[in-house]
Amino acid sequence: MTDLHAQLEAWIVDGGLGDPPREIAVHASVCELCLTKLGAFDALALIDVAAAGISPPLVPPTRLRVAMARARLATAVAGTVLAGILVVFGVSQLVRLGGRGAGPAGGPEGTELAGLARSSDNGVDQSHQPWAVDSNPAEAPTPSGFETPVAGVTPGPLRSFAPSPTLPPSTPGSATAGPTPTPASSDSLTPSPSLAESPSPTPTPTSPEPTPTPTPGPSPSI
Amino acid sequence: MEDPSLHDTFVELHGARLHGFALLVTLGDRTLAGILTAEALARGAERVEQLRHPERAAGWLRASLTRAARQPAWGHQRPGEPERRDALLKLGVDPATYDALASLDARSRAVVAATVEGFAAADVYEVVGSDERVRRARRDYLTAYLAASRTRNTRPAAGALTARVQAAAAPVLSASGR
Repeated sequence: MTDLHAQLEAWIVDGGLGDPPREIAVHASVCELCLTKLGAFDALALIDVAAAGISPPLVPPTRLRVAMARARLATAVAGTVLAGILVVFGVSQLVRLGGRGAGPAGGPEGTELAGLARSSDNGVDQSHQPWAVDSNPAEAPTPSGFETPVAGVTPGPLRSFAPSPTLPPSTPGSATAGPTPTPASSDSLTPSPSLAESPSPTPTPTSPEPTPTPTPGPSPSI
Repeated sequence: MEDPSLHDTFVELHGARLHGFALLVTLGDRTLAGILTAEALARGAERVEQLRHPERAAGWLRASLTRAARQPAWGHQRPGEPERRDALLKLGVDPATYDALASLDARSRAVVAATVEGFAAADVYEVVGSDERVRRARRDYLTAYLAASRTRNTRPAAGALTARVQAAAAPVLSASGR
């Protein structure tokens, strides 16, 4: 009997095509459960989908298009925020580096840098330090051996990390002939303008007279 | 689509029945059914040259609508059950059938709706993409209907399917004198 229930159900589920086997039909005709199963699909036959009528002339933007528009907007906002963060970060880094090169007037970092510069007597070549800045050749320490205070506080371009030839400690007259790329002597610890690191290829000779300025920069001492 | 009259003909030919199909799939959600119908018709109208055969177009439209109905409807205000029942009652859905449909997912309801429309097996297959899904959906509907019928203590009226079975059994029953 159970098998007949299952066979009728399988026949219904497969679409009820053709006539059912006679044995199943006889059973289903007298079985309340099977008649209910048949009635379940008979109830579907009473539904008239066309009775719904034509839907109102909805012409909305499709949900897909709305979703895509929202995704595009979110992407644009996220991109803008990310770009803003990167710009702020980059500017802050530049300001930070600039502040280090500004000397004592640049704040605590400048003071710290000045201290580092003054401690260059220990033989550290500051031309290889990333915070070292190029100063105006006219204001830069000259190979004459005189200590020339830095006049400005404006940070210059970053010094190249490449080894730079230094001028030998010679007379001021020799410096006027232009920088001679000779290997730095061991006793020459003064970063001097060179072709590689100076915006001007020919450093102008400076006056041997020191020009006092109220804010001495981080010029290395001899 | 370039020919507006072709679009109008397409909508006129498929619009009403597709809307009824959508109401069954959405369980009487009039707003969502209207949106899904409009979207499916718009997508079909873009392919009207490929969907000139009415039965092919009908299957394609229902498959497209069923896929869309399974996507989440963000921000859509769902109607309450009385509204849903009222919308489906206008199509002739009795309470037990409504209960059974409510226990199914959208894809299974699409199978039932395609059965309501008298689609051939191949067309129902196209709507949901799998013979097994069709069988499972029909079986689920049958199980749910039996449960709803027991709960409501109702018995469905005999229809064409019951008549066919009884007709097949009639010679044996009359011979046996039952």
